[in-house]
Amino acid sequence: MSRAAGDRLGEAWARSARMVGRRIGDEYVLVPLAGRGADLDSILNLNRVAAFVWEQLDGARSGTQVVASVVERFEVERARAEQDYLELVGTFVELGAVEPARRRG
Amino acid sequence: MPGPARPSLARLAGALAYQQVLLADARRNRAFRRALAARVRPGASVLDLGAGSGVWAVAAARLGARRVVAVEREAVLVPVIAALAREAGVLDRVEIVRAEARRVRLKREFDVVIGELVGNEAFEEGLIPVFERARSLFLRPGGALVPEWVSLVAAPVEAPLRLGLTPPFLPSASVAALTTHVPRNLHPAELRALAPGRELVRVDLRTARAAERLPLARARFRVGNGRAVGGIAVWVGMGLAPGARLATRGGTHWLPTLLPVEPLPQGPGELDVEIDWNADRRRWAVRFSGKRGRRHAADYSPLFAWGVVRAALAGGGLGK
Repeated sequence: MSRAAGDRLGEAWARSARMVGRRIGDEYVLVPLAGRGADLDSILNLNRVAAFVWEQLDGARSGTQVVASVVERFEVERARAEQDYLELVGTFVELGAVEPARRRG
Repeated sequence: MPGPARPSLARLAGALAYQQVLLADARRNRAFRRALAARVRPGASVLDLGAGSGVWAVAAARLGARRVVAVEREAVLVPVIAALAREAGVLDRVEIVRAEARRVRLKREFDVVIGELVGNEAFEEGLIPVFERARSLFLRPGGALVPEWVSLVAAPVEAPLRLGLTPPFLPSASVAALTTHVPRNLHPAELRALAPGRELVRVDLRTARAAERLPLARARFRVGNGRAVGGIAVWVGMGLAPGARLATRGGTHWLPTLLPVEPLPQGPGELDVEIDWNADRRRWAVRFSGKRGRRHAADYSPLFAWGVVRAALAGGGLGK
């Protein structure tokens, strides 16, 4: 694991107030609130694992803790869960869907 | 770019039927007539954008307007306006222009601009861009607009009996979940308000610009003991002229809009509502806080339904 990846696992991320998510049936849909008009391509469909991760991004839990929850919940290998988590958070960061948690103290 | 609609038997029947509905709306007629009486001075020049049957153009002429221009896109209504003006004895002062209200070209010569371009959801008939253009091109300095402002008013309501989600003989949780995210018309008889209405947004048509988006609207309501909210009703308020107001909550041909929500816990409690009324980003969020820690929060938007349907089209199927 690279140092950057390790750093990101140690960080906590918070869902941006500019995104709202809803589970409808088996689909979990994220809708951005920012922007002038409806860019329908900016609406995201999350799979089960991604939706679970999204709900864990509360600004308090570190990436390591979220990955541990994924491993426990979905019975996947830790290395695979870390890789998926980092890719997913990277996508969320690109879209402005998450923000770094404010450091306490 | 679509031009004015071509005449046909179906268009004639549809246009006349709709105008009948408007002309039978006594509350609407009273309010607009009062507004014209307040605004149209003898010798005034008046522009009616989207004139329909021509009732307001002809009424303005009878109130003493020197010149009235009635702009109407429906070819089949042009002879109707002419007949109304002729029988009222004002045909010499009413000019009929067949054109789209948002594209018509005229001089800046009008003291009053009327535009009854208010839809059930207030702005879907192009009220803001048409009035912005009218202000900049047709209205004389100091002239008056009818209406001069339009507002959105909301109140939490009980779930309608006919929620219309799926047929009772063929229930479908997946279809019901989708339709919860889609606004629909609410018949006034179904509108059982659980709190007084609150104005969410007021748009001043004397200054409104089409390029500006409607602000995010927020309101807090107190829900009474034992009452459960099943949706948010939104209706339109209009300031037509000083002393002439109109609301579409009931008793008019307009219908309020229901923003459905999944049933909330029973009151008493406080309900915070947030609504983005911009058509391309329509969204509503409810946050209920009741006694004994009863809380519920949810977001709704046709964009969520879009996400679900898009995934289904891509091969997942709906309700898989």
